[in-house]
Amino acid sequence: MHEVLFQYLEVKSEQKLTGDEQKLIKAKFQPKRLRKRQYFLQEGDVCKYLAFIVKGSSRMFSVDNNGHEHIVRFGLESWWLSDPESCNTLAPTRYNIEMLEDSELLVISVADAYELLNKCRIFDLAFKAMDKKASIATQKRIHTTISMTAEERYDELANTYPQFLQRFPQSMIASYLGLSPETLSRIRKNSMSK
Amino acid sequence: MFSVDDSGHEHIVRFGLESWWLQDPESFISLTPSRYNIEMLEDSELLVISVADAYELRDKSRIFDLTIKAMDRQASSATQKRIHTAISMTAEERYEELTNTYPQFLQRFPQNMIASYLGLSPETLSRIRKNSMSK
Repeated sequence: MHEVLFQYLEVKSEQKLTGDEQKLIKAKFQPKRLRKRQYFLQEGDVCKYLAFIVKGSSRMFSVDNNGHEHIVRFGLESWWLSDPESCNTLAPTRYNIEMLEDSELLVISVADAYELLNKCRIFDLAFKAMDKKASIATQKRIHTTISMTAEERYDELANTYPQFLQRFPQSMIASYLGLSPETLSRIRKNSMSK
Repeated sequence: MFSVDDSGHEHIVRFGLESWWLQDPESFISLTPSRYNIEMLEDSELLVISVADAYELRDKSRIFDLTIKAMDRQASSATQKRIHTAISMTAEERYEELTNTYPQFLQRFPQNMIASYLGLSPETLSRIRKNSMSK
């Protein structure tokens, strides 16, 4: 199960892991299975663990006072689960991370992850590469959200993450885009009839 | 830092203030041409480093590397919050959140820029401000 993670780290860091490094990483990451609808993180808890998704998918969402759910992030294979807001400040999270399919994870405590960043150069390089990619993705998403119409936002999503449309129901896609399900359904009908 | 769309509208994706950093991560990481402009809003003094030198410093100076990492973490929290605000809150709530998180923006930037940053029309923001003052 750790092989997928080793491969991921080697691709991201553009370096080869030594046997010792593999052992070190394997010792820190524990395999964990979660079924569909189980939670990796729950509102009110402090986020003390990170997880690498070997198989499965997830959503991270908040629930507002009216009971509406707002999806701030999805997760798929080779993506990571965590709430950086809570990890960094140790404040209780306002989000839930729920698995959307039966999933296999590799879990590491935040403390152990910091230790690995110090001890293992490849791990450090891989995280730097991830951070860079994440900063691009979040800036794009902010720009999309403030500058585009609902139609354009749906098109952008369909181009950037086509897999979302295959794996997640329309109601969740609407929530991720900040649209009502009715608006999304209208957009999809119009774009199909074009 | 803003983009200009086909209709000539400007969309402010970020502001900058003292001790903040200027850059477009999309462009310098992927080496693609930027779609943004970074314009100074006041007479400014900057300390500038090339991207290549910044990478070199991260390798050579542990403190520089640790500082950038701490910044990256803070930035990832801030951007996640901003995305959450944008998809989950009403225009009123977004304005209030901004007032609480970055009160200095309201002192230093004109209303039309604040509106653009929030993804609102200047008219909507002006209505919200009037209502919040009369409360």
